[in-house]
Amino acid sequence: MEELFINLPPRTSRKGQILLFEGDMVNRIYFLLKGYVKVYGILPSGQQRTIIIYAPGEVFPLTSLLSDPGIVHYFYECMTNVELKMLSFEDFQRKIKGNLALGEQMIGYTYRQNLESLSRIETLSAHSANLKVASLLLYLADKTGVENQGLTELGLPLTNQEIAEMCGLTRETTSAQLKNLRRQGIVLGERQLNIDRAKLKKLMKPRA
Amino acid sequence: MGSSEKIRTIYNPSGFIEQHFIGVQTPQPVLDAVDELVKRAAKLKSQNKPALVLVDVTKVPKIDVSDRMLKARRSAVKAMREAKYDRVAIYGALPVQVMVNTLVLIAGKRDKIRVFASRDEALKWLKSED
Repeated sequence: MEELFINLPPRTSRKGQILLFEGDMVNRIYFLLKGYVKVYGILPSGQQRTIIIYAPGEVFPLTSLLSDPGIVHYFYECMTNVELKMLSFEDFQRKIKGNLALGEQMIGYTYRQNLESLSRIETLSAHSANLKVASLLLYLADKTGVENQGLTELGLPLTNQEIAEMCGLTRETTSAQLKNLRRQGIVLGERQLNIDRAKLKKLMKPRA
Repeated sequence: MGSSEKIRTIYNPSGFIEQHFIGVQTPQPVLDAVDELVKRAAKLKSQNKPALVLVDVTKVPKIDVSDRMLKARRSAVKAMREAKYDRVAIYGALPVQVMVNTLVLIAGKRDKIRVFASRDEALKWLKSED
């Protein structure tokens, strides 16, 4: 879908900047060139809960744009400094009109994004603390990781507080879970984490 | 009544054609249903009546985005572009909303076809004057 954004100038946003707030009307879409953007909701307790993360090459918020009533349902915040392109809804409509091939790409893309969100929501709502942390690490490894000598190095440095917010857990519980994973040799490093995916997947398998 | 057991088409006495999609869809019933809508809308227009359409996709549990359904999606876009209708309001779950809205944008008919989350909102727009 990069073709939608051809000839548009890139712009930068700093880590922590919120690109979209819950309730905003969607009047543009973004194409992420560099960095990561997290999508989160705010729980009644005031805690953040990260639903998904966008990586370079991804487009958002297509689902909000293409559903009723066309408002953003979450917050979209830069996890790192990012470089992105923006396309107004009017220009988007002009470019997609009559372009079935592009439409087909979008249908497939939004479908996969929707599955990703549902899977994350299910993980966040259904499992125990250890599975929440483990599944988040696996998700981050899939989304941002680089393979390095049998381990997966996450593409962005994370504090325990940030991991806790992404899981919907307290920092104390998250720290205890990470400590346990480090003891088992599944997680290595402090802020720049390396993950042993095979061991992590084994840990997540339900016992017979 | 009905173009197939997966899709039912009725005329609602409130003044619009109503179509219900039920269950996971396969290409042929969708193609038949699109044909039926086009014919019914054309008949209403030939009688100088407004051709309003309400489509319920709330009972479609999942969408098929594979190439198997490509012909059906193409047919839907063609009908959106060429059929004689005044307004179409569609309501259903989020994945269906997203797919239908994409087809509406490809057809360039956002002024005449709108997608909603609920029947009430769909009816409100379908029967509004603006």
